[in-house]
Amino acid sequence: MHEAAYAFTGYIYPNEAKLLWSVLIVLYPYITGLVAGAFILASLLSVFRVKAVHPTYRLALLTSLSFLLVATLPLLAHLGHPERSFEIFVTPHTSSAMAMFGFVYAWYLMLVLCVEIWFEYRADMVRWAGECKGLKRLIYRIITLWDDDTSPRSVQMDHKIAYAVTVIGIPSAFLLHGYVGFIFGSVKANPYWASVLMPVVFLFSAIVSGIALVLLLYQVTAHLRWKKADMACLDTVGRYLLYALIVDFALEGLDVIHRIYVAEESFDILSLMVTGKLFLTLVIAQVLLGGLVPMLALASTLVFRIPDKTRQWLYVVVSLLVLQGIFFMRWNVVIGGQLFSKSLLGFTTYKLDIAGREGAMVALIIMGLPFIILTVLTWLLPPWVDNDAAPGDHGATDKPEAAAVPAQASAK
Amino acid sequence: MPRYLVRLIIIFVLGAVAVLAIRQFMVPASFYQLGHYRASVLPEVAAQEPVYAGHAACEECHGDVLEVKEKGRHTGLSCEVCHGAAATHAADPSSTKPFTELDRSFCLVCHEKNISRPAGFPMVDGLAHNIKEDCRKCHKPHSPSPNKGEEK
Ligand code: HEC
Ligand code: HEC
Ligand code: HEC
Ligand code: HEC
Repeated sequence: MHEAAYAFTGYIYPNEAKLLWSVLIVLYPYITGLVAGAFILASLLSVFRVKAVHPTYRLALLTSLSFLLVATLPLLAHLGHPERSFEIFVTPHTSSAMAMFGFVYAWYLMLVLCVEIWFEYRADMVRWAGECKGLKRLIYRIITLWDDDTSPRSVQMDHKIAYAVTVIGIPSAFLLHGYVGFIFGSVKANPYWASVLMPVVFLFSAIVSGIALVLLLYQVTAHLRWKKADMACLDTVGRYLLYALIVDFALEGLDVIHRIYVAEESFDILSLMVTGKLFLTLVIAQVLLGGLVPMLALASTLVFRIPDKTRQWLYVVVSLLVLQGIFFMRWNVVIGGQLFSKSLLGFTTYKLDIAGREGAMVALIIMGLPFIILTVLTWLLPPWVDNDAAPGDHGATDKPEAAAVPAQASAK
Repeated sequence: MPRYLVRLIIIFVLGAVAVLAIRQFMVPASFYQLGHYRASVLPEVAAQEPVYAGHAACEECHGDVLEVKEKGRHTGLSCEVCHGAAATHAADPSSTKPFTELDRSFCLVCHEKNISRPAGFPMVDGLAHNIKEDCRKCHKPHSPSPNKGEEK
């Protein structure tokens, strides 16, 4: 206790000395946000039939799934006793939002995402089962439930069902991430969190981060496979990213203006925190680098004629900036909300440990896992859509199929 | 309906049935009887032996310590705050001896400088107040005021 005693300033209550929600709780909304964002990108596009972004559709779904699979890990690592997590399913408590989230998560994972991916890939998997040998063939056979039905009628039906699942999936994804904002927004004792805008702000920042992630992954994977990224697709996704950023920025701005105008008793300490302890992570990392710079850069692609190569680099940099910006947005909410004393008279500090159960190493491992899962998933379920696919590549066999039935676009 | 769709639906139905079946096994018998907890836990907890004996129990045999303590400023503290739960010791003194925390950090749990403690509470800066020395060298635990601490 006495080492910590010297990190305080002003007056704080004894139980505020140590931050209980660590960097893992920062990762938790970050990861669920990426899940919801990537899914919303994929599904909005399939519902509104935006042909240009078709190359990212499957990639976005797989990205969403790989992040969803690790979304609960930060919580489990933070709380310990992962074996007890099943209790919330066995004896559900309806008055706890956290407990109810287990059901939202299960619903989203098993009835939305997996089902959608299954119907999206089923016909292809049947085909791949015929082309592959050994283990891969066996896996495809199991996943397709030993049925090699690829009649036009069944393919048609797959698309219809996938479409219906997408339509259900959008509100589910909104729920998944709106809930995370709700958890913070409903902590009425904490003036930094308690805000009805919180779920909406979380949702839009989730969409922003999901789009940025898919934009980045699409370019990186194209580069790694020595393929050219589709510029029309990049431009469209980039434009959506700009729109989402503007809405997100406006909402957060609204929140700030509202706080300044009503100037509740907590306002002084919060503004002291934002301009002091959170200056680097909030003003610089979140607002400037994560918001204003990407917005200006994306807007410039609409106004000026920028050569393809430069524009591509610009998208890479913008998505990286946005991704770090949203990470620090989560950081500022989670850590910031615990830095100031509920007496409104003092601050504590948060020191990120390197090792330990809640340290930086664990956080990095958890952040790395989805990319490993994604690699495995793309090996099993190649999402690539290439215009110049080399022979022998899965993309080559993809192409006629994709052109004939552009995924969801021809569902009706 | 295509075959694979029938199979998929069967799998989901089987999954749901399996979840419900597992739940039957995992919910403890008396769980919802009195509320959102196991009703049978109440007699279980009530049957536990108390581990603390309470202040009055110590007075019987340790009148000398009590006398010292009552004159000092630790008079408000219960013996078991510093000696730990001692019910087994009070019941049979020869079988177990209470544990006594001797480390500096223990006294500092209550005496470390902390702005949130009541005004006037005796506090010291644990990193500055006679560091590296045992508190007991100058403060008798039972009567801690430094100059009148000769007798225990
Ligand atoms: C039935 C009489 C009795 C009661 C009640 C009793 N004690 Fe003791 N206690 C003794 C005796 C006798 C000794 C000396 C044992 C020895 O030195 O072998 C002793 C020793 C101790 C010691 C010194 C142990 C050591 O390491 O030398 C402590 C501390 C102590 N008691 C605390 C307590 C506390 C606290 C309570 C109240 C919960 C308590 N006692 C209740 C009889 C009692
Ligand atoms: C502030 C903490 C504290 C409280 C309260 C306290 N003790 Fe102690 N006690 C100690 C410490 C520390 C020692 C060890 C002293 C030493 O070894 O120099 C000790 C030693 C003892 C001993 C061993 C013999 C001795 O005198 O050194 C007995 C017996 C004892 N305490 C009984 C009691 C009883 C009975 C009470 C309640 C009336 C009590 N103590 C309350 C801290 C405390
Ligand atoms: C459970 C909390 C607690 C623990 C543990 C504790 N004390 Fe105290 N201490 C108190 C209280 C309460 C007072 C009396 C404050 C008052 O009178 O306002 C006090 C008073 C004192 C004083 C002030 C005496 C004076 O005349 O100024 C000293 C010195 C002291 N304790 C030393 C110690 C030492 C040494 C230890 C470790 C053996 C210790 N305390 C452990 C609670 C504790
Ligand atoms: C070298 C002897 C020595 C040691 C060791 C020592 N103290 Fe003291 N302490 C004193 C003296 C002398 C005073 C009274 C003068 C003063 O306030 O500095 C005192 C005062 C205190 C006070 C009362 C302060 C007040 O405002 O009334 C507390 C509490 C206290 N000490 C706790 C401790 C604790 C806890 C330890 C062990 C971590 C400890 N002391 C170690 C000598 C010592």
